[in-house]
This record gives sequence, C-alpha cells and structure tokens, in this order.
Amino acid sequence: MAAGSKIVAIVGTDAVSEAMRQINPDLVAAYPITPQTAIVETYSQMVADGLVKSHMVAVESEHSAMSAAIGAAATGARVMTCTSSQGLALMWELLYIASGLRLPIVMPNVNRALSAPINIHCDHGDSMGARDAGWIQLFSENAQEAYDNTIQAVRIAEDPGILLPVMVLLDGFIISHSIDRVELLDDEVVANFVGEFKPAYSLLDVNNPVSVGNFDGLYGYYFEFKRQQEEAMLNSFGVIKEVGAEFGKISGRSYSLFETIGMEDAEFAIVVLGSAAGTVRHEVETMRAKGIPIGMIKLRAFRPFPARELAEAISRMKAVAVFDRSNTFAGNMGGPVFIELRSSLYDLEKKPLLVNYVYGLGGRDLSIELINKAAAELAEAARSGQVKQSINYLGLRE
Amino acid sequence: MYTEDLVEIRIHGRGGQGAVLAATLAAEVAFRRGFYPQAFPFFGAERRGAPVAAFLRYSKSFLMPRCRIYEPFCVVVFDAALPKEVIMEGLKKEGVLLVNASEDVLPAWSGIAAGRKLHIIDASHIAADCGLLSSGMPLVSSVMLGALVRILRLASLQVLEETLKGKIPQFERENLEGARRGYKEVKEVVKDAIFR
Repeated sequence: MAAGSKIVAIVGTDAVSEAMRQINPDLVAAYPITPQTAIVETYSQMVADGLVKSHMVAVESEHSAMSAAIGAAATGARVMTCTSSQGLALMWELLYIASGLRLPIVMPNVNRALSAPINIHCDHGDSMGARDAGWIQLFSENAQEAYDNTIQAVRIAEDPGILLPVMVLLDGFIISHSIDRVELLDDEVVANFVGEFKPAYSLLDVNNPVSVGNFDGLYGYYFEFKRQQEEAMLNSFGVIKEVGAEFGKISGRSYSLFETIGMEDAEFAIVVLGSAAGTVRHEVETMRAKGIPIGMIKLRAFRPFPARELAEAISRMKAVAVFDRSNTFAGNMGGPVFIELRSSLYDLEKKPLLVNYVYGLGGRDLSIELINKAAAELAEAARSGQVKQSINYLGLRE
Repeated sequence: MYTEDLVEIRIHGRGGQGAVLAATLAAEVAFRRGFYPQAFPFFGAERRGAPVAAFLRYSKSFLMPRCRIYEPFCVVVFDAALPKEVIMEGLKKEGVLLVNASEDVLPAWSGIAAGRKLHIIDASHIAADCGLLSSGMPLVSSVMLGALVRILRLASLQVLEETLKGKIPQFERENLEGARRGYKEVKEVVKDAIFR
C-alpha cells in the first residue's frame, strides 16, 4: 500500500467524488437531478462544506452542463462534469464540440440504459452511442478502477500531444451503487500526480487573443481538424500506457490499454469490459484451476481501440468470445466491441474463431451460470474448429 | 456459493425497513474485519412498503463475482409476511435463516427452514422498544444487523458499535441500542426449542 493512502469501504459514486475532490478541478458544471448520479450530489456537498475549492455550477440540463464545461475549459480552466444515460444522450451535439475544440474535459459517466422502454439499469448503450464523438473512453471493473481512472484521465486529457476529452465509465448500480473496498491515495500524492494544468491557449488571455469555436469558412479546414483529432487519438495509445505506468509508481496499481489473464497458455479466451470482467475473472480463475485452458482480456480503453495489440494478444487462440453489453442494430453484426475486434483481425494470416455474446442489456444479470454456458460453447468451438452461431444473446428470455 | 473464502447473503425486506442500509453496514463491518466486501441492492422500485432485497458478499480474496446472489449461504428476513418462495429461493441446504419473528411463530418457521439453521429475533418489538419507529412502522435495520453480525460470527459487539458510530444520520443512540440488543438477543432455534 502506498504511503499516506487509506482503505475504505464505499460505493462507486463516492469513490469518483473523492477522486474529484483530490483533483480539485477549477470548475464542475452539472445537472443536479435524475439522470444525474450521486457523484455530483456528494461532490456538491463537498463544495458546500468547503472541502474542495471548485466552482460548482448547477445547470438546467445536461446540454447546458456540457456547454458550461466547454466555455470554462476554453478559458484554460481544469473542468469536469458527470452524467449518465439519457443525460449523456442530451449532451450529444456538445460532445463533438468538446473534442473538436480539443478541450481536455474529464467526465465520469455511469453506464445506464437508454429509453425506450424506460430502464434505469446498467447497459453500455449510452457511452457506445458516443464512441465516434472523439472522446477517449476508459472502462472500469470496480470502484477502485473508477477512482484510479478518474485521476489518470486528467493527465491523459491534458497531455499536450492529446488534448482530448476523456470519459471515465463505470457500470450503473453494479459499481455506482455497490459498496466496494477502495484504496484512496493521499491528497497531496494525487495533487502532485495531476499537477497544474498549463493550457496552451486561454480565451481570457488578452495579451494573446484567440477565438474559439469559429465558423470554418464555407470551404475551410474542417477536414484537417478532424484528421488532427485522429492523430491525437493515435498519440493517446502511448500516453495512456505511460500515465498508467506512472500511476503504478504512486499506487502500486499499474494500468495499460487492456489487461490479460492466463493468455500465455490459454487456447480460448473471453474479451470483456466493465464490471462483468470481475465475474468473468472469477469464473476464468475457477476454470483454470480445473485445468481448462481459458484466458481473458479485460478491455480498459475502448477509445482509442487498441486494435493491433489486441489482435496480437488473441492471435494464438483457437477461439475468442467477445462480451458486449450493448448492441449496434446493424443487422446481426453483433455488439460494438465484437465489430471492432473482428475488424482488427482482418489483416492477420492466422486468426482465431470469433464469437459474440450480447449480454446484460437493461441490467439483465450476467450470472456465473451464463458465463459457464458461453465458456462451454467456446471450448466446443475451439475443439471442433467451428462456430455454431456468431452472434448470440446471453441471458435472453426466449 | 459458500466457501470459507466467500460468504454470500441475501436480505429480504420492504422499502423503508432499511434492508439496503443493513447490507451496507454489514459490508462495512466485514471490511473492518479484513474482508473484501460487496453490498448492493436488488435495484427495483424504491417505494415504502414494496418488497426489496439487498445482497452482501465478502471474501478474504479480491477475486469475487459481481453478479446477483442466486444461492445464498444466509437469508435474512426483515418481514416474515413476505412470500416464502421468494425468501427461500436458492438458500443452501446447509444454509442459515435469520427471521424477524416472535417466538409464537416458531413451528411455522421451523417447517419453512426445512432443516436449515434457523435464528429468530423479535426485531419489530425491540425496534419499537428502542424508539425506532417511523409513522408507526418499526425501523428494524440496526436490530437485524446486530443479529446478523452475531450469527455470522463476523465481529465483536465493539467492532459493530464502532462501525455504526457516525454512519446513521438520525437516531444514532437508538440504533446503537437496537444493534446491541439484536446482537445479544438473537436466538438459535433447534427443533422448535430455543437456545439463547
């Protein structure tokens, strides 16, 4: 355990609020009621109690929350906001403005389902909808990772080679509302780690006047700006790993783009992100103890998508199952992680069989029984060299 | 699932009785005893009177599932009038049942427990005694928590009290008293006879 840190039992939203308090952003703009989560509720209390100096702006909608965050970030302030589900959906047009203006806003999003039907439970459909919005997206397995990711997100977003907004994703209820063991770092350690934000430009710097958010001209440089965003995303691969390694030095917990378990001697594997990784890991370890050659990859970065490294990590496998907690409605193409991973394998000479399990939509529980069912089918695919059905719905009532 | 490394508990109650709070505080007690805790509600309608469930899981290891609990080692019943099928679902044969009930319902509960270890505590009565009432409804959370901590041999009364202090915004003194009495007064039922 790192010096000065303390271990507590708290819910996921409180772990994120605590990270925000330690980051001490200049401004937090947030919509204070549903679909907002307890992250902002707790944080508002911290501001009111004088525990943190952030300027707290309670706005009238999530659209306004992101607008206020963008305006504040353009002045060179360190800015955060939080949202969930329909709130993220209402931010839609502003998400693209935040990334297009290259504003390093950090936003924890509690992953919950989008209507209709109305459903409040865990689902990755909300943030997957924003996957092409030019934001970096980091998934968390538990409250500890939500805390750790929030702190690292600041460094990643503000890196001069990146300057992109970062979404920290944590599963609704399963992480957000569950008591979990969390190791909190010392305030000063976090303050030193995130350091001071030194923006290259500020809207309020009268000596170096800039304008932000201009009209591109009828035939301007929009295309070039978008190409640069892609370049920033490319740069982020290295920075996410560097920041993750550096975070390991202060906490004992290192991070990369994804984590592998048992891949060195596995014959088949499961790729999964979010809290389901905890349950899958439990079963994978149980199966491995019985001599079943299964491994797993827990994906942390969905944007950028570490295609090359993931392809390399699974290339030796006979079969790989991808778990998706959202769907693309593309006509039996499967979930977003499956589509991306299948695309990543295209250029490989030797590639594993790939099978998709869409699970857990609208909070449908991913039980151990369901994981074992998928694992058994995966083992059979690896043995026979054939996939019975590429796209499967795990836990669907049929 | 129950191994020495992983204990899984399900709590049944009604909205307003504090089932979720009890799970949360029990997780905190487990945490203080060096376990990795998990506590989460069965996320349904959070209305007063509606049936609710909460889950509690603790382990010596970080390696824990994050799904719901289907085969609990222990089931805690805040309201004995809840449907028995729901209460008993998946409870391990070698499992434990803790029920908020008075001694006069023993024969019925002994039958329901079907050979499993049965503990009873008259939490509604004790809560009312301690002044833990809201609109006439007994707030049994702390009493049931005390009883649960005792039957799981999870912690001493002292650790339980230390955990509760500062955690309950209202009626702290009453809740501490409720937890103490739950801890001390929970009884194991053996063949319709009561052992203290």
